[in-house]
Amino acid sequence: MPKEIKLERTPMPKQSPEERRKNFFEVALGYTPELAMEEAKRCLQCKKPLCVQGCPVEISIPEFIKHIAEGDFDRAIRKLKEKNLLPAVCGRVCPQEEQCEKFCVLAKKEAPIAIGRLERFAADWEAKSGKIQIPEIPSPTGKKVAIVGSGPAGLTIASDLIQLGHSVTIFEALHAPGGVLTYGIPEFRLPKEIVYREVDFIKKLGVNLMLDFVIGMTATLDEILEEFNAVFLGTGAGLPWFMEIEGEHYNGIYSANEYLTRNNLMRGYEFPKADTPIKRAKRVAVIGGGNVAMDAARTALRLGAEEVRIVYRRSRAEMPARLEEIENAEEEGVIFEFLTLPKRYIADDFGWIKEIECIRMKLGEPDASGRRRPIPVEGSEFRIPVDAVVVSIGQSPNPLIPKTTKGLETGKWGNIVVDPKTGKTSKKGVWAGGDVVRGGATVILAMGDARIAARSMHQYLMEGIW
Amino acid sequence: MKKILRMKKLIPNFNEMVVYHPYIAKKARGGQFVIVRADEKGERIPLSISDYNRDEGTITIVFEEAGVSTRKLAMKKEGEVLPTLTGPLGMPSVIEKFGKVLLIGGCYGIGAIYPLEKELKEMGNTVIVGIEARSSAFLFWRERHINCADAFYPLTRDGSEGLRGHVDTIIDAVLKDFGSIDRIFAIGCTLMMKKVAEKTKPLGIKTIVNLNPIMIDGTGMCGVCRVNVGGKMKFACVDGPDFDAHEVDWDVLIMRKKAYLDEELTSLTMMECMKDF
Amino acid sequence: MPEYIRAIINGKEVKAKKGRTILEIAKDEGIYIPTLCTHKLLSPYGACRVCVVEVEGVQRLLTSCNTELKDGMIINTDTERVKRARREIVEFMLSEHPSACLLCPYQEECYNIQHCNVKLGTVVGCRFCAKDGICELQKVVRELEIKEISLLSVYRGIPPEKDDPFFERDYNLCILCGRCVRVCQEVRMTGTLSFLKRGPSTKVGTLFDISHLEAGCEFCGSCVDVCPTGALIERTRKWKGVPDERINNTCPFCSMNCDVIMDVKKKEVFSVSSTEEGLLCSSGKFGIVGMFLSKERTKSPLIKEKGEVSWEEALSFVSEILKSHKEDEIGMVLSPSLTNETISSAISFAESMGITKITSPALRWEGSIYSEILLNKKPKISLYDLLIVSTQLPAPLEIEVKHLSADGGDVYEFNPSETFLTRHVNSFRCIPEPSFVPLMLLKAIREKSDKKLEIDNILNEVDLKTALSLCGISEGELDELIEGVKKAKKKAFIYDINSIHPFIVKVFSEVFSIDIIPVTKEGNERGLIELSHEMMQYDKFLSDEKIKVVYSIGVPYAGNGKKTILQDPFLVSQNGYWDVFLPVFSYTEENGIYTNLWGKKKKLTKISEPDFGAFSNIKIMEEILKKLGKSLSNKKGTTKKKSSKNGFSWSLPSVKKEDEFYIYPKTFTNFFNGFELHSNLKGFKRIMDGEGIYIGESDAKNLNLKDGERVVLKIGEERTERVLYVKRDIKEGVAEIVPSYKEMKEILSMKAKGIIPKGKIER
Repeated sequence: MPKEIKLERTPMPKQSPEERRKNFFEVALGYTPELAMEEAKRCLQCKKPLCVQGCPVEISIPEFIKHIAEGDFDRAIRKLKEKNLLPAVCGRVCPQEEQCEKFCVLAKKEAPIAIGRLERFAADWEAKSGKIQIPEIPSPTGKKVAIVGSGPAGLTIASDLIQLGHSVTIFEALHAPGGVLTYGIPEFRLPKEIVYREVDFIKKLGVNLMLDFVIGMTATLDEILEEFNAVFLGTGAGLPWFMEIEGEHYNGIYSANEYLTRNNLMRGYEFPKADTPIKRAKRVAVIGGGNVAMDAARTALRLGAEEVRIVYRRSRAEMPARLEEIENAEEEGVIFEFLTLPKRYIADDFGWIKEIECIRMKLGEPDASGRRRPIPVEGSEFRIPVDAVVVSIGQSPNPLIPKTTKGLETGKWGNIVVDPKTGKTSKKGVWAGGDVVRGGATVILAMGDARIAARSMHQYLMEGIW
Repeated sequence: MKKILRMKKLIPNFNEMVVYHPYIAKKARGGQFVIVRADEKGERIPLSISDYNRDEGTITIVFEEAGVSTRKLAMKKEGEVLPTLTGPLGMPSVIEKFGKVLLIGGCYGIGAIYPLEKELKEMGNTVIVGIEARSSAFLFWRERHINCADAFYPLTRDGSEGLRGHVDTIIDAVLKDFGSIDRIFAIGCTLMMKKVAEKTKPLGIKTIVNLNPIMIDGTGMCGVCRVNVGGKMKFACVDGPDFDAHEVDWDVLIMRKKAYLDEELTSLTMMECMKDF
Repeated sequence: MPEYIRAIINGKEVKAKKGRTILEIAKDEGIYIPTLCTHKLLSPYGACRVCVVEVEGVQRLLTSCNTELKDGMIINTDTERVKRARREIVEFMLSEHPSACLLCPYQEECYNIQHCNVKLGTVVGCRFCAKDGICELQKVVRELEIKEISLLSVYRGIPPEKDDPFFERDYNLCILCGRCVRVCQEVRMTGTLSFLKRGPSTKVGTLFDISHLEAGCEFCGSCVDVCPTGALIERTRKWKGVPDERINNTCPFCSMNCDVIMDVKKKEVFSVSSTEEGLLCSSGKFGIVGMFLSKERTKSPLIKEKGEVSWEEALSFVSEILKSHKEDEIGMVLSPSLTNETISSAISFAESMGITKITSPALRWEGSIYSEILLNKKPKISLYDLLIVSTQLPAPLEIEVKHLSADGGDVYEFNPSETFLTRHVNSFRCIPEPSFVPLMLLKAIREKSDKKLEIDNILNEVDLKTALSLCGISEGELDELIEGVKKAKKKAFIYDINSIHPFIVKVFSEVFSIDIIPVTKEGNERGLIELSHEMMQYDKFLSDEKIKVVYSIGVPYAGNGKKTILQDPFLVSQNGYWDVFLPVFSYTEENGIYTNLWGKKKKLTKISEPDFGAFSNIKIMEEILKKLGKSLSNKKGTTKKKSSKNGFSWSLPSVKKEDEFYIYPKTFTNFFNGFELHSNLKGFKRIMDGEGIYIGESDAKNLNLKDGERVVLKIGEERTERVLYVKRDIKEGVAEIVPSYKEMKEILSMKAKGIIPKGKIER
């Protein structure tokens, strides 16, 4: 008997746009148990589930959804955690519309199961219930592993390897763990409390966390290799791109990294209660169209900006940002200037940004990435008055470690070259994954890389063959 | 680790802090800096390394109380642990056998040139040190410099000790006594470094300055420390902090350092006037 | 006939009145002579020697500030010798003052990076100093064109003092001009500062270098106002640089309404100074800035149990309350800190609404009675031979009385405990109730004469022996005082206008031919009194059972348990005493007029608007009327009602019970609407001790209480926690506190009923 298919996704309770523009609390409030079960019951429990192929860490999606539908949330979270140790994070930041939900059978009817929301629900439920289970750790293997970077890749591989009995030490350059989860993704998308909770969990498993330790400066990678049997590099894409146009040095022009770090890591929005300041500009322009740009724009709104613009050189369809974030930004009143490119910056007498001179673009033939290339429209220059600009056009991998390490092969834009099947680099005993390999990508892909590297590392540690 | 072993007041506004951190001590070199936070809500600030002892695992930092974070730092006592101490960051100064090298230090630079002095001496250079301040009461670490350098030129604005005038006077005096200078390193307040650059450019003496813009992470991640050198954008924390003085766009540096002046003053007002209001 | 003398200055003949200094006359003639240690308010001193001039026939150069211009003198103020001498004199000063910046070749460029220097903690040069650009020493250096200092510079290395409230002292910058010492000793007569040591070790400071708090400093800020350099600066002046504007304004904290000058940067007041005409007290000097900086403003209207609401909702709620009650069920209470315009509008509002019950805590009696005794001109205290003072005085009056006493005048002080005036007066007696003074004097006279007095009915109730013993005065002393009063040619009685009924005071004045100087306390108390002809007595208001709703403008705790609408710039109590709260403009946020104690109109100037949507008091009243379909009537409350002596009732203050204490509120200039200086500002807590309760030694012994013990004070219906301190010179049975609003509410309501405020102290 065909089950009645409900073709409407259970809506997610959200703060209203007027409300949430003023605060840094999470926008999406999460499903209640009733809403979660309602959504979970929509799942058709396909015999050959297509969703799983979209998941970089191969979560057993129909199973955990079934547990939710039955009201057995405990088993749901345990099923999730078999494959994904950071479900609270992923449920919030994964671009599910490009991954699992894209392949869902109901996606053709534009009502795919809200897999991400259900994952988030299960994770939040576990945290609220206070019953977080610590898995059993097998006896120590005697092998020591160093993880460089406590971002999503680092945390994933650390927890994988500690559960295989190895001794794990994470080296983090900043004074707080989480990497981009902490400094990059704003509080209203991913509350830091969740990140610290996950880090705490990993520490409870026995992982040693060394903060304020910059591999490449405080100790070189070669020195680390003398003490540890294997090293994983998850240092991320922490080198901001600038457009290198005239006037980029003026005050009020930030890289997205700086803007977000001041706000998220250093809690600039609490100034003067916290010491690090951030300018609460009234008219802000964010250059770029990715998730980072959306984050920067929505952060600017919450800091009290009256007018926030996204300046993007292509059109909405080409924007790489997560759909939900684009929609949220639109609801909150962010103005989108599509097909626009900044040409130069103009400052006032004190060196503060005053205006951006922009030029309109039109889309031409597709380029190497497959997206249509933007071409400037002659004579279409115009100026936008601003008092702050956030340049969010992308990042490349931080060059510190390749610069200070012998024998580590890098690609043309500074990324570390790895064997995609194992995550091994060109240097013996060294693996890498995440943004440092891919350039600015996603959290879940970093976690996927980490998982692959973990398997390869474990084999190397136990068998000793490179 | 990160424990303060000694905190000493040198002269008004300046303090000397010795911290235990064997990793940094092992790697530190002249021209490098550390990033420090004074408390959990504090800012990340760069401070130059003024000395290191690889055997004892300690580094010495000379800092001036120029804002909220450094004031909080100055109030710390021996035995306290710093919440954040990261380093050594920045490219170490390029030390080779140059010949006759003049090091000019002002403000915190009087401390920051010291490791350079030692390294240059080890390389076999003739090391001439000039330290400058407004008056004799504001010079410190004379013993250290006298014991290390081959020649010592203190300078005061009012002539209360040594030469009288500004940094150009030191350069003139050294040229007079030594005939020529092969390289100059200048560390100190932005105006002082700019004046050295202006003096030495027509003389054609290669001058290296150690820039001090605003920083947050110190590892090249955010770009707030960007400076214009030779028309190109460079990050002071990973490309510097040493740069060729004649290529630096001083106006841009000075302008960028003022970016948060209002907020800095608000924080200071809150900190110091809080006892009244 | 004033005598005139003739002299020659710089070759020009001058004619001037005899007895004036060379400097004064040169100034009149437009001849400039640089000075540092002179000041309009201070007598000439000759300390700095910058003003030296050449006098023909005299070998030494003479200081023009304190040398009398005599007939026939030939003076040169601009010769090379004089110029050189002045430069050398200033060079001496500069050699012990961090002056490197003045000589630096890159001074101008250094302004570009001054933002780095100015944040440093200790001043080591002009660019670091809070007074850079407004320093008088810099001015003189510029005028004398000093480019070099040929002397060796020495930095004395005295650690700057930063622990005292409100201002900081860096004696490394002191040029020993002595202005601060002179203003403290000669003008204010407080004597906190003096010169210590001698010769090259001379420095200015407190005795034994104790902190100003310990030294009994009043924190009037006069020393800071007169200091020419950055040696003494207000803490809030640091890092602001030269002000954008210097705006004249009026202090709102007491009826003196002193003129002030506000230093403003980016529309924010960062420092308040006195004008050259007079000095301030701690409330004006530091309290104004503190109140301005107080970020504790409640930014949105509040409804009890609902929290923040929109203005629309709040005003509708208020209109509903007013609409649903009868006219005689509503009462309005006005703060004596409101401007004349607001008070007039409130009266019009009441008229439009049909409300007749308006009052103010400042109205101990009906408004019309006060006009009998208010003065319309400032009296010249120095002309009196004898003064009887029975109230705490505001600083300007206090200074004048101190000077009178020092010049030989007879001053008798009667107060429940020592004030700053006490050690300057002939005689001080601790009495619990100021109204006893005229009553005792009148009773003594009455007993010896047959002449009937209008207030005989009251005098009959006074038992002289009891009163004298309560006050600790013997009959002989009383007779002596009466003799003294009779003999004195010009005499005055200074007292708190609300402490004794005006009719008693009038009789006292007639019988003894003594001038009456009544003192009002709050910022616009006189302005309110002048508009209060239709207003009712506070005590009648409090005891009116019919009143169900209280509409309070600026008086927290006026509600007394009834439904209360409170309009105030500051929210005193988050939890009690109001049902609706409406935030309004504060001082410096709107223009207005106050009437000072002597009847002069003073202007309050608006400087900036708050960064949230506050309304003015008047606008709220207009909006409420709009909602009720009415508008403000034209009545302005200026019709005078003839005061009637019939129905004059006044009861003697009742004596306290054994276990009670007379509560003496030591407060003068602490309140502005809902803002309490000593509760809201930490600095004031330190100088006024809002937490302590002070009693005498014998009382402490009897109650078995120790110094420093925590006790509970029960006063009326309020219980507050305080720390007990034992003080030597407090009269038995009296307890001294700096009251908070809660306690003030009880004190005022007791006073309104004619009761001496009483309370109990418990563990």
